[in-house]
Amino acid sequence: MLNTQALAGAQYRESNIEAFEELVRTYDQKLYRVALRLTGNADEAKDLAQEALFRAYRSFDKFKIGTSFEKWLFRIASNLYIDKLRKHGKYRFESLDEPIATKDGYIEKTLPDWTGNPEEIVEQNELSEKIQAALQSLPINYRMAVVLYDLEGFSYEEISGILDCSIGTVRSRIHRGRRLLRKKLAPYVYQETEVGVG
Amino acid sequence: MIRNMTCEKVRSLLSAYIDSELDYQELRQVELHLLDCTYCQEECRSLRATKDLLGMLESPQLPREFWPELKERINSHSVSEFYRRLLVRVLVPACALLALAILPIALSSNTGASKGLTEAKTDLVEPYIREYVISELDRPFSDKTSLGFVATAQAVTMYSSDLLEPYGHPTPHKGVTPSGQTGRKTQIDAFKRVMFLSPK
Repeated sequence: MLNTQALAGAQYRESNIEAFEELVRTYDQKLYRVALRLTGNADEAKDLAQEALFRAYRSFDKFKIGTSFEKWLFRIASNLYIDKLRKHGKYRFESLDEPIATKDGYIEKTLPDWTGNPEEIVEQNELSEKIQAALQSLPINYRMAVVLYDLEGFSYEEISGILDCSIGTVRSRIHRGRRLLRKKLAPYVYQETEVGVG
Repeated sequence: MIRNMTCEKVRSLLSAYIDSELDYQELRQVELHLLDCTYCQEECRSLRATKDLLGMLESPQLPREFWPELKERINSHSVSEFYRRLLVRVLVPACALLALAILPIALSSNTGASKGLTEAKTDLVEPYIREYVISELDRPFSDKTSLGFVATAQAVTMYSSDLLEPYGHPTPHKGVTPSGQTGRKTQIDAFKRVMFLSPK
């Protein structure tokens, strides 16, 4: 279905913004959600999603008919976000698990420990904020993989196409990302586990 | 025969196991391991709970101004793109063709020759050069400035032969040949103009 829509779009995009809008309307919500989960900020998310759609419009003639328009669009968005982080010096590859090398040797990174006060588990909006903050703390590669899989339901194969890496790498990034999230969201995770077990 | 996996190996596969993204062999091995290992069972449960937590995030709505703003941007881009294309595809080639058409006429009038305009055109720029220049003008990414030089240089070469004839040099083609001292002075002036040696 996506390919057919893209094919139709390719034919009339040239002089018809409404037609392009109609084509990408299927993905705008999803794109905005991903942008929001990546940036953690509504304004930045809007800018990122708009820029991705604008670039898709501008370079639509480079889109290969018969391939997935959705994958192409999300690839533009993820590349755009990585470029933006590089530009602003916020890009980091390192894992939060890796110890930091100092002149006195290696020291372990400390993460906030919330396991001591599970009573603070609160309402939905507060939980959302905690989850968003935990997502925000992930290295970008892990965050993108987790957001695309756990929040937007892309398959490992689709994510490997969007992020231009192997399926093994996607698998590893999702796993490491979840482990870091588990550490950061420990009180919520273990409460849920207990509820599940009980 | 299925070989038992270590806890470490199984733990590295647990997210893919939860997501049903393991191949058959890996799936069997992980399942077998989980039957007996309570530590890995707990690891699996907590990872699943983490994944479920993410599903509790609220779904944000697209801001109302999202599409109006984007459309405005696309519209303004389209207008500027239209003018850019107009310039590149129409105006530049048109100017180049015009220059190409005017060049022989201008050269002809500068020499003070008695030949007609039609004849002068064919004399001063070889037909194959003109055909080459005209065909190249329509092609994308063609260098319009370079094509202009090709045409000009060719015309100058042919014109210079006319210039040399009054001094006794052989003429390689039948071109415009003014007579007498006045004619030669006119030729020199015109030649200087073509070679940008003199402003007028």
